[in-house]
Amino acid sequence: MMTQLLRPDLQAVANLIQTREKVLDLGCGDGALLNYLQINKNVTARGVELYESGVLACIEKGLSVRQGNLHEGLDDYPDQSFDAVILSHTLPYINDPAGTMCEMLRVGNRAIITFPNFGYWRYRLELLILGRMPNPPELPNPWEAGPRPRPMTLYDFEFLCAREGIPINQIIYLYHGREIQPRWGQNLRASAVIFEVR
Amino acid sequence: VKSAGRQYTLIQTGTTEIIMRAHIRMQVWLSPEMVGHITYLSEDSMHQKFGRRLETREHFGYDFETDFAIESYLRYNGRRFTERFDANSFLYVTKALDYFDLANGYEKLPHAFQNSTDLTYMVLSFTSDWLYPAYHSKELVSALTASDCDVTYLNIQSSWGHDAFLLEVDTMTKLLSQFLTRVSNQTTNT
Repeated sequence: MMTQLLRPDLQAVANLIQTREKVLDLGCGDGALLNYLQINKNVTARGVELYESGVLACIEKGLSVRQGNLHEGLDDYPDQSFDAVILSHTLPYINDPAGTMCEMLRVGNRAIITFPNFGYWRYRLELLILGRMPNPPELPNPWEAGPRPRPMTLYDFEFLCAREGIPINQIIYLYHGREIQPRWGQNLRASAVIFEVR
Repeated sequence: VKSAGRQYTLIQTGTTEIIMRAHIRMQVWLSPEMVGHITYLSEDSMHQKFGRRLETREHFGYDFETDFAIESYLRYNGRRFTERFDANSFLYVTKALDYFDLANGYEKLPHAFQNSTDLTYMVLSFTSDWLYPAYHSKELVSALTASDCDVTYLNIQSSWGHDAFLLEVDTMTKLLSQFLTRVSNQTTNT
């Protein structure tokens, strides 16, 4: 099969998935990641998407997708029915992130969570110097439009995991989509992060 | 026939508010066939088509003759319905519909799928359909998911009510052909 080009941050998520695994993507959008995984890694792919346009795009790609919100997407699945459950750039919109992560780990063996890091130095400077809230490209809507994201940093998430007793397996740091390996100042230098927890 | 139509329609309409309204209206002028026809439409589609247009008269009146355009439309279709369909078939079909219960003989709905988890499912519903509302489809999708079945589900945005299944042909054709392509690929691959 032809290898398709994937958005770099999605590629970084795809690298965490092994061949023939069973994967659930919550908020799978147009299904680009699942489609890539299905073709290149032969995974059993399932998607959950809220918006009709996303579901239509997924069905067009030949994916198994359900329309629904995150709770509808998670509650029905039996315990440990997936190897990995993916949540890309959706965590800041969730009312109960800890509860959602527990559900993800009930349904799947491990959870892969991506979110923009408001601790990134440019976002900090934007607020400090310009006096305006930063607008990470991963969260498309400005504050006055669409659902409200909760700004959070890499440290915030680490604290949450520690408090909830969720072990962090690995962290991947992204600089505008590209993977970086900073030895210091990760919270300053990563514009987005990928957490793998189990 | 009328009582069956009345029963059938009232069972299908679901919300109490609509049942109340249907009751009051029926006493005044609405025949069961007309109620039956309403369940195929949606508030939006009726409003778009008829609005509050008066049919033949210029002022409101309380003699309960045909007033609004929607009333004459429903009267016409109610009459046509009784001409096109055998009253007995209507009775038996609606009774059979009442008796249909997918979970019958099983403890819970998901158990009904325990011998068919290897199949690929697609469930479609329409946002404005209140004859077969989306929450019924979602119940089915939940049960299929709980049984670890491969299920695809979409609640298609449409203002046509239950009629949408006759009118949203392009969307449904596209979805079905894409779904069937996938299923046939799966079959040839395995």
